[in-house]
Amino acid sequence: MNKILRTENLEKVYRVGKIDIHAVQGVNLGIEKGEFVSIVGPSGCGKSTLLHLMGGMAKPTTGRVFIEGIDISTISDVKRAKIRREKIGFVFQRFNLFSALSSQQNLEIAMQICRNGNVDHQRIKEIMALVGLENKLHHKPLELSMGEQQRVAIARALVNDPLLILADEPTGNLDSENSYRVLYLLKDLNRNLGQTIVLITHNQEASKIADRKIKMKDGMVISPS
Amino acid sequence: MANLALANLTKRKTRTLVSILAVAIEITLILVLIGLTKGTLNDVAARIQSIGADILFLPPGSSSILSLNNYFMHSNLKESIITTEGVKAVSPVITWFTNKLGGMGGNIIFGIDPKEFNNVGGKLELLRGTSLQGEYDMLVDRRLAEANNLHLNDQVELLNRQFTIVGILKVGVGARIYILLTTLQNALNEPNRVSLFFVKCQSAELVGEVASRLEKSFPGYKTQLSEAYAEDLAESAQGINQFISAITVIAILVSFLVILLAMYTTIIERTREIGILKALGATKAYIVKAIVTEAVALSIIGILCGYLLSFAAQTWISNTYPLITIIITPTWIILAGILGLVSGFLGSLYPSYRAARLDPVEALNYE
Repeated sequence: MNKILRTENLEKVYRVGKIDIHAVQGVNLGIEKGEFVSIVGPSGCGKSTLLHLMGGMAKPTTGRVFIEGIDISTISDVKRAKIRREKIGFVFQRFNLFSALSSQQNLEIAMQICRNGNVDHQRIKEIMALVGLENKLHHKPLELSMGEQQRVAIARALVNDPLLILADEPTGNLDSENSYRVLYLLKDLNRNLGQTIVLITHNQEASKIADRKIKMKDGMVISPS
Repeated sequence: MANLALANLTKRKTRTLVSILAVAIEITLILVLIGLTKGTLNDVAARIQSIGADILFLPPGSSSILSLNNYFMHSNLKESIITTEGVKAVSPVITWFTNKLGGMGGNIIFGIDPKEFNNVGGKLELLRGTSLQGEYDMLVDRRLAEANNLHLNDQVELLNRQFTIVGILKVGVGARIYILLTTLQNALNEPNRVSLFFVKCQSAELVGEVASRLEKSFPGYKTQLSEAYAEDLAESAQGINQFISAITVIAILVSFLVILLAMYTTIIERTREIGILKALGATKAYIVKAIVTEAVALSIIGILCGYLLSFAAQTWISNTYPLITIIITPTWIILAGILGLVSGFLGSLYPSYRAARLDPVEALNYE
């Protein structure tokens, strides 16, 4: 199959004081188009750091990350920002919506950044309908439930039709009912739209929603090895 | 981006208000100070020019700002001036500055010979009363009379003498207060001394030549062309201009620092939001533009408020101090607006630069 994301001997070392912390060590993995992959492991095992490396938010200490064959570990910040806005959709544990803006405006910002200021309002309405919030276009984040906020965040990640969605503990701040809704929304997006998704979670149950599971421990992939 | 900038302005109302106020005060300070200076200088110049004389003949060392003059010359110079070729009439005037009766720091008194003053063109148009006749007669203009609630036959104490107001003048010619030449000479203990001569030439074409002849005939003495009085007055007021420049620079600096501080604290507060923008793929240029847009929006609102404040200040000053003229010109409205925008723009550059350089992951994890 077609690997849209690939890592080679990926390492990330943080220096805290005089101590080197190996957050990610020798990670080699590939994500194929249309896959739903979960990366699971205990807190502090390097899952989020790996996601940041895969999404071009951080540079690896050594090793390489390829997105559609482009090595994003060696390109400039400007080019990496371009990859992020055109290829990647991020979903975060804390939603990370702009609290002063409505749902629609939150999606507009993502669109403006990706499309040189152009906004497709019809596309925004469609995406909001896709996540079941077509009637919450003008609500600000604090006027929405936590589950709804996360669905707006998923809509924002989808709005530019990304190659890959990277979801970092998207249910971490949600109750079980909303967690279930969000996970199944991601599943539907993968199944119905063929959206490639990488789900980072420490929750074994949540990870089962994915088609393939990658386990991490101490910065390393332990299964499949 | 405009939505984000606008939303951020309404989110932190106190910060926004303080920043707007800083810019508004900057604009008001500039417009009011320049307006007061320009208004006063223009008013003085217009009143001197409207006398109708062609040349002011001044003693050595004197200034074009008549209120600053303490220099006198002998009144018999008049005989020599009148015989100069091209001169039609000469009016000796002694001036004095009084802190009484309001005005921006006070008023100039002209001691004149009414007939000679009239000969050089000084048409003192009486609204009420009569011209100067008695030793302690005084003429005041309508604006000064209204500001001090003075009427015909009222008594005014000046230079330790009691004067009677015998006439109310139309505004706009020479000084606001007139008394007889000899009275003011005696009061100042300067008999036969004058501060200046107003000179009327036989024709307008001769003014330059006559001025040259006078300067040649009276070395050290100064001639001041009436038509160039406004410009020369402004040049003589270099000290005032420097003061205004200093205040303007301070106002711009304060506004710049307030915008810088406001935008800097905004960046700190919104580090996480900048992280989100970075995660969405925003370039450094986009982030700089977002921060600068917000600062410029703040500045524009501040500038508009500053205009309103300035016009309010102008109205208040005109009503409270009727003798003070304040002129807010379109040129300075535009200039002050540009200065406000520039200070806001510069104030936002460093914070926006810092925001653009933030590491995306660190910014997202900022608590």
